[in-house]
Amino acid sequence: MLVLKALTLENFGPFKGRQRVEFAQDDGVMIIYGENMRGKTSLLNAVRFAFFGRVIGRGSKATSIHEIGNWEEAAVGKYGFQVELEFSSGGHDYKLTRTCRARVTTPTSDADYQVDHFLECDGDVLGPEQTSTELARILPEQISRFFLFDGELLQEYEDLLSSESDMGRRISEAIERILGVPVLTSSRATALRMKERSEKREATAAQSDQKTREYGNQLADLHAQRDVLKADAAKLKTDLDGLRTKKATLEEALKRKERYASLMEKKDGLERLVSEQTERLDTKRQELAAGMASAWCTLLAPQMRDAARRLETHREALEATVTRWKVLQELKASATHSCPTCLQKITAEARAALEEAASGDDEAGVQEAREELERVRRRLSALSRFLDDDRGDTLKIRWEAIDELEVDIADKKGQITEINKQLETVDEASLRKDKTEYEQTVRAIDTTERTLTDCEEKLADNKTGAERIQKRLDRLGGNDLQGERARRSLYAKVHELFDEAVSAYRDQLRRRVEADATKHFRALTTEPDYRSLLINDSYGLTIVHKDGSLIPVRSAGAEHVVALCLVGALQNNAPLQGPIIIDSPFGRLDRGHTTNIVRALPTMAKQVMLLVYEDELPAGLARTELKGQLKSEWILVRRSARHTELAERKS
Amino acid sequence: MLLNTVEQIRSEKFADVPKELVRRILLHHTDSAASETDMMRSLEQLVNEHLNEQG
Repeated sequence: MLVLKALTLENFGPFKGRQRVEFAQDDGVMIIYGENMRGKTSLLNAVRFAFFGRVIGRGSKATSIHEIGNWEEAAVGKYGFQVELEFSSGGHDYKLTRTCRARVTTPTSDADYQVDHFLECDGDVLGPEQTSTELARILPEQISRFFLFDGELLQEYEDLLSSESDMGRRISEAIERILGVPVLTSSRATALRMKERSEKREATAAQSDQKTREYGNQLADLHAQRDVLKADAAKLKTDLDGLRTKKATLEEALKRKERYASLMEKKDGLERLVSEQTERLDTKRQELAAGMASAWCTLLAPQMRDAARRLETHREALEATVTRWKVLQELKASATHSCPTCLQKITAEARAALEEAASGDDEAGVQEAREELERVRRRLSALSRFLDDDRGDTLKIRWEAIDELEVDIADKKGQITEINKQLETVDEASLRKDKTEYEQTVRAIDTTERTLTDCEEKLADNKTGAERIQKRLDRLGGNDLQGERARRSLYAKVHELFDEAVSAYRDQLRRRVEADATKHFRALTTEPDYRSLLINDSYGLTIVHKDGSLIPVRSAGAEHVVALCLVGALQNNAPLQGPIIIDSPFGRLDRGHTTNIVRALPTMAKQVMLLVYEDELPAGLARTELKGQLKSEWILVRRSARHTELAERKS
Repeated sequence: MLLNTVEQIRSEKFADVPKELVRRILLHHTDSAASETDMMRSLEQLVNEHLNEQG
């Protein structure tokens, strides 16, 4: 069991200079009080840095080590920091020191630092390899989430309820790791390797006998093919794990920046619309410019209409003159005595009157009228081109359309400016990169999964083929093969045994975790109608109402309560037990739940450290609820915005 | 709990699998610094002894 003893910090975050906090050794709870920005998260990160050499910020994202050193010291040219963690495990005392030193006078990035660590066990310094082995045994990073966590990390446990969540898959794997399942899965893999080695030896033995050579050859080929396929499948699985981890990380990053991502999407949409509308505006402006070439017509329209009316009257008069002369000439020249139009007889008197009238129009005058008529017609035609009644309206419509477009574009540009202001503090390029990378990763996962399925199908075919030939060989096999056959049979049984053990152990674990989590839940929940927790295959927990129905949706506060129950249950059932350090766990909880959790903390782990602010957990409440199990209280004292001191609070 | 689970399955369904063989495999994956090759060698020796005893 891992027990923390003391933590010494030197210029780590706000902890300027060398400062030390001693952890209570007896079973119970230790509380460190600190207001916001005093360094509670830095303390949690100091333990994390000591064990794993890295620090995480919001959203489980690694923080740059350049930003970890104390800023007041950095301002006077003193860079770097150190953390010393004293602890005991398996009956030994350890001291782990991790130092970060600046390699240059004025470092500007992580590359300018050198991080070293060494581990002392019972006073002896261990070698690098032994240090890694010991640290991986004492507290593997993959399961650190069950020992060092905050509200944000607790929130991630809801992903266990979703079978498609990569984050859920990762947490589920971590849960199995802390519960010791990998011991069984690795044992099963060993048994399988032993069985396969035996099969290969048997095939080789079969190849040396004339009677069994053909089957031996076929088996040897299939075994060689199996090795290649297995190597391919293993590589694909590793790739897939890496891709899924990457996807989960990107998913988390995008979830945190969801609001910004949606703003960016809106901005992209607005920019597209502005671009389209600007094109339309250009087209409208060109049309307007063309229309404006004859816009003067609109101003002169009344005068032009008058002129046209006058010309029209003149044209009618000229046409009448020309027509009259033509008709008279036709009548005069006509040999008949009838009217060519109405066919009525023309009397002698009428004919005499016509001839007299026709003699009044001289041909030269009529010719002049004809020419004048042509000129008038041309002028009317020219005027009619400029007397388009719609011209003014068309121009007006175009102006209005342009105005509308301009207002619309200005409005959209205004919205874009607003969005840009909101995105000012966001690294837009990195957000876009995350989004693109996420889409690429999802595609890569899909391709890798399909390739893996294909590979696994080939492996299944290979297995079927090998079993078929093995059966034939078994029927034929001589005495030389008896030994290998017995080994193969034994290893096959060992493999089968471990296979069954994995399923049986998982079932037992799930039942125990469910029972223990329910026990914690009953102690923590303030809702009397909630009866228990129900576990799924991924260790996700769902609240069960006393009437047996499941509570499908729960609040962030309830999520924290359920997650704490799971952590407590895992601590009860894990081969590896250790301290729990929780950063600000009560922020989302009401007083009833806070009280219940404080009271139950000593049952969740032997050593519990709480990093809280007083409003979240008043000291009086903690003392009343924990009584003798409250082992010590510390306070983070502000010296300046960049300088905090650790002090023990004596009651 | 883990050891009990495996042993129960072995004794109930795979009684002819040597207990020591199972124990050694589990031990290797629980708390051993031995290499995979050394472990395989050791297991094969154990299996040979077991098969020889069985005749």
